[in-house]
Order: sequence, then structure tokens, then C-alpha cells
Amino acid sequence: MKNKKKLALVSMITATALSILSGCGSSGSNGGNEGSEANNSDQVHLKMAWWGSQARHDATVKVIELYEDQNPNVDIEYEFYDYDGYYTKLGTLAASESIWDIVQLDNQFPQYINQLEPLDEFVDNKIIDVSNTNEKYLSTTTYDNKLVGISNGVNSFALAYNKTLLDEAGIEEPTDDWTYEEFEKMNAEIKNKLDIYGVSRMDDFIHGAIMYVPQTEKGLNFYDKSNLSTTLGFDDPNILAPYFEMRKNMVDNGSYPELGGIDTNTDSAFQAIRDRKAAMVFIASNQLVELMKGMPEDQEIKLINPPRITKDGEAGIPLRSSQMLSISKNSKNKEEAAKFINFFQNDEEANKILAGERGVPIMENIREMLIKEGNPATLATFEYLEKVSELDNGEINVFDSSLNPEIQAQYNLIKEKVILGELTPNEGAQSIFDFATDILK
Amino acid sequence: MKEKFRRFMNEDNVVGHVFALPFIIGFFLITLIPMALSLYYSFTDYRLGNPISWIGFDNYTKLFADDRFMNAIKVTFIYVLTSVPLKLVFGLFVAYLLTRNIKGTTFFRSLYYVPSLIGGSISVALVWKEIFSKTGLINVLLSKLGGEPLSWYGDQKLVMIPLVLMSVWQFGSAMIIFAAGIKEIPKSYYEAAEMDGANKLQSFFHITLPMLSPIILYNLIMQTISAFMTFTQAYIITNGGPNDATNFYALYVYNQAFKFNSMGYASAISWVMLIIMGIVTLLIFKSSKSWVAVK
Repeated sequence: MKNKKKLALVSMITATALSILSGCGSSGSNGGNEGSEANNSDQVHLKMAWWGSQARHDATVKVIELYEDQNPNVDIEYEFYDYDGYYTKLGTLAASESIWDIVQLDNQFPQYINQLEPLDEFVDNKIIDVSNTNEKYLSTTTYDNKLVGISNGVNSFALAYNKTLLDEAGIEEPTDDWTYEEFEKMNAEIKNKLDIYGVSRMDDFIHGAIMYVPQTEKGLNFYDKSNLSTTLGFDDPNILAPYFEMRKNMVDNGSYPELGGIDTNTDSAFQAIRDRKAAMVFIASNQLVELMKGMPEDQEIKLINPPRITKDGEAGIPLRSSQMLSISKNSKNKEEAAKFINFFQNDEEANKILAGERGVPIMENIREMLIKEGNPATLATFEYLEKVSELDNGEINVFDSSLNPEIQAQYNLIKEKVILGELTPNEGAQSIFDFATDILK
Repeated sequence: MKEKFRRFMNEDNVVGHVFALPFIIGFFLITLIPMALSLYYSFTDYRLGNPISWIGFDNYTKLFADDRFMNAIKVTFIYVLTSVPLKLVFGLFVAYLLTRNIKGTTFFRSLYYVPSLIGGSISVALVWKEIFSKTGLINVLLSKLGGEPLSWYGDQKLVMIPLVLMSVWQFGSAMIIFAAGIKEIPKSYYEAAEMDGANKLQSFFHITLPMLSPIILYNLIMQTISAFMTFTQAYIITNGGPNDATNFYALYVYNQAFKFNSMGYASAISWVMLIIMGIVTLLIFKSSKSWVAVK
């Protein structure tokens, strides 16, 4: 009897101890990796993570497996998330200074700048080969004179529209120099003739703030470019008002989904285009590939640059890095991580798998290869980006403030207040200007 | 030595502590230490991944100038004050029905408990989102009945209704406790009331309710606390909108902490929430003296 009791006690303690140990192990498996490295010095473990669509996950996993086949001593442990989940996880990892060895980042990266290893050294000693790209592309990921990552591809903002729908309704296609006035009118026309929404979704903060301010005057930006986005880059809050006013008008006349009309996520907005419930949608150009998935074949979708304020005004759209790969400052295997990034960027076979889904590749040879492959959606994106690179005046700030998530959330809240009529467009503009100025102090 | 250790381990006190150890460790690691840390963070400007510096009561003074925070308190109170009473009334009503001698009560009781089993889960929230969506079931029914379809999630005056209904629908756990309480009431009381000519309604109000009052108090407090912590529904269904009309306290804390990375501020908000919930619970307890029958 007593023995049984003791046995039970011992097993209880062991079980508890084990569960505690394993609990610690899973939260800090970096520690585990160190141990195995010591045992087997040529085995390298890397951790990598990214966000994105299912297509991106599948392709990236294939590329990782390809790399592991070619480099049997490297073992890459990967995780993938949706966009919000990715940044939530990254935030908590950043708090414990243990972010993944290879991280994917977009223009939100200034928040995590303390955690990143500049890549200049790896470029200098030729571990990362940049001979097939140029300064213009590298500058999209250069921050404070340091190369913080290598862009997976560049993109820009665009409106995708259904040409077939416009033709049926007898509405003329937009031209490169179209204005907000024409845009608003076209939306109303679509609503009147077809009784569907003009646009299913606009990324209002990007459109109404990040793009609209540089459109007002060359050299102005929502965030000041000269001081790494630590203050606002314009003085007159009223600059933001016309966009608010347009958005309110569009909801009022039914050409833009009212609050709760269409879900505000991109999936629902894209589905509305496929279902012909709306004629246009605001996208990042590399999302065209995703939008075209499941699009009825008889619908012709085209890209156009977003409207501007006056016909001869600034286009306000920059060529930017849609996302980049960076290396953690605390990584134990920075060189190996750099080698993988080099592979990811330069290897033709890998990029055949990736197929430009992250944006137009910055390496010229890869671009040429993909053009030969000839996927129509990819080609359309490439063509569009050619145009954008002419429209880009080089003074548009492509980096966000580290406080951007909060400012963006406030912008969207104020937009809703304007749409509901609780604030006038000018009050709304003043309010977001004050809010941003206050927290950027 | 071995013998001594053996005897030591077999002492009642030691055995007790060893068995409680898993809980004690867990309590320290995932409750007490994080709480202490969050109290400390609430006095700092801690942003995830950045250095920490002490800023005293700044976070707390900032709170009272924060419109979104004030709005979060307001909408959370509206939610608590509507969803909790409705849920309790509904739970009590169903419990009352299910304690009568009908065939298959156990089956029905399990059936009604199912929504609570799947709890505040994401899948339920998604289903609820579809039911009340622009072209969802409710709107289809409305237009069949000749009404206008409503924008449940677009209208800030309506948006609380689906969320409250979802909470009321999960009345199961309150119901089970009520049912157990009702069964405890001696039959003889009802028989005596019947002899005196009381009808069903009178005996419900004069016997069942007073006899059940301690259980009502328990349910009221538990449901109030859980309603204050509502997160999933708002996060999944409305994401706080429209115009912050469902930006509940817990959701706002989450956004501050993990979207805006303002861990220090989020910690301060949480501590204010703890104080508010403490006061509300205390008030309920104080008031209970006047309406809870002591056996």
C-alpha cells in the first residue's frame, strides 16, 4: 500500500517536472537548437516566418525544401500566419528579443528596427549577390543609410477594374491622368446604370493620407521623409479633408459599401469583384495574382493608377518594397541566414516556384525569366510597375512611422465618424492631424 | 538518510503541498508574476521590443483624456447591463420548464447546454456573423415578413443586438445551476402553497424566487464578470465597429497591447478594469443583503 503511494507520488512529480521542462522547451526552442549545434557542428538550424495567402505558403515551403535538399546541413524551421497574426506574434517575440532568424517585413518595419541586423556587410563580402539589381530597388529597403533587408519584390498601389462591366454599361475606361472628380462621377454612374457598388474597398489610410498628401504637392508626405517618419510631413490639416468628403459622398450615393455593407477585409472585397457586385477595388499591385484566382474567365480585369487631384498634378504613387527578408540581430547563424536570402532572391529555380507572387522581383535576370514564363496576371503587374516607375517622383516616403498602427486605426475611426456625419470633413482632418501630432511628439 | 527522506515525504503536510505543487507553480508563473509585472508596466512607457522607462502615473492620467477609452467603458456597461439580466431571466425560465415532470428533461437539458459548451468560440461567432449579415438568415426572414432588411453590423444603434443575443443564447451554464437550485427546494413548500390556494405563478414568485436567491446572486456575479471580459464576439464579428460602438474594454486592451504595441498603457487600462469590476462586484454583494434570503 505504502509502496503504491510512493510510486504514485514519484510519477506525479516526474510528470509535473516533465511538463514544466517541456513547457520551457517549446517557448524557447532556440535554446534546444544551440545544444544540437554543439553536438554536430555542421548542422545549422534557421527559423523563418512569413504572412500571406495559401499560394504564398505553398510556394515558400517548396523553396525551403529545395534549399534544404541542396544544403543538407541546413534545417529551416518555418511558421506562417495571416497578416495580423504575424505581427502579433512578431511583437511578442520582439519583446523577448527572440525574433525568427529570417523575418519577413513590410513598411511596418521601423517598429522592429532594434531587432534587425543590417545586411550591408553580407552584401560587401558577396554572400548576398546584388549585381543584378540597382540602387533604385535597394533604396526601397534602405533605412537610415543601412540596408535593413532585401526586397522580395516591389509593388505599388493600384485600382483594379472590371473592363467588361464598364463596357456593358457604356462607361468609358479611366485614363492615367484621371482625377478624383472623374473617379467620383464614374462611381456614381456605375451605381446608377448597374445598381452595384463602384468600388468594393479602398484602403482609406493609404489612399487618403499616405498617397493624398504627396499628391497635393511634390515633396510633401504624410510622414516626414527627412527625419525617418518621426513627425508628420505637412502643416495644413485641411489637406486631408477633400478625401473624407469624397468618401462620405460615395457612401451617401450608394457607390461605396455603407458601413457593414461588405466586409472590410480584402477577401470579401475581392469576392465582390468576382461576383460582379462592384466594378473596382483598391489593391497593392502584387495582389492582382490573388484577385484573378477564381475570376470568371469572361471578365477582363485591368490595373490603373489611382486618381489624382488635378490632371497635371502629382501621381503620388511610389515604387515600394512589398515586403523584404531581414535577419535578426540576435540570430546565431547570420551568415547562413544571409546565404538563404541570397538563394531566395537570386536562384532561378526558386523564383520559378515563387512566380513573383510577392511583387515584381528586384533582380533583372529573374524578372526576365518570369516574363518568359508569361503568366498573364504577373505580366500585367510588371507592365503596371513599369508605368509606376515613370510616375514615381522619388520624393515619396515609403516608410511608416513606428506608431503607424495606432494612427491608422484612429484615421479609420475618424473616417467612420465623418461618414456617419458626426464630424465634418474638416473637423475630421483637424482631429486626425492633432492626434498624430500629439502621439508622434 | 533515505529513510528520513521517505518519512518526510510521507508527512501529511508535505504530501499535500506536493500534490498542490502543479497548481502553485502555475499560479505563480501564469498569474501572480504576470500580474505583478503588468502592475509595474502600467507605470512605464513600455512598448513591445523597446526599452522601458518609468513614467509614474502618466498612463493613468492619459486614460481619462482618452475618448476611445471612455467610449469603451460606456459600451461595455451597456453590454453588461443588457446581456446579463436577459441571460439570467432566460436561463431561469428554461431551468424552470426543465425541472417540471416532462418526459426527456435530461435530454432537453443537455441539448440546451450545448451552446454553452462551444462557449465563446470563434466558430460560433462566425456563424453569428453570417446569420445577421446583410444577406443573412435574419434579414431574409425580415423581408419575407414584409420588413426592410437591416444593416445589423453597419448601424451603431443596432450592432449591440446581435452581440447581446449571442450571449443570451449561451445561457446553458446559468441554466444548469438554476436547475440544480430549483430541485433543492423541498416539494412540501409547493404542496402547502397549493393547499392554501396559490396558483403556479404565485408559488413561483413567493417560493421559487426567494428560495433561489442565493443562486441568483452567484449566477449574477459570475455572468457579470464574464460579460465584462467579452472579447471574442467583438473581435471576430465587428472588430469594435462601427464607429467604436462595440469596442469593448477587453478588445481595446488587446488592440493597445498587440496592435499598437503600447504594453504599458494596456496594462494601465487592465488595472482600471480590475478596479471597476471589483467595485461592481462589491455593489452587487452589498445590495444582496436586501434581496437574498438567508436560509
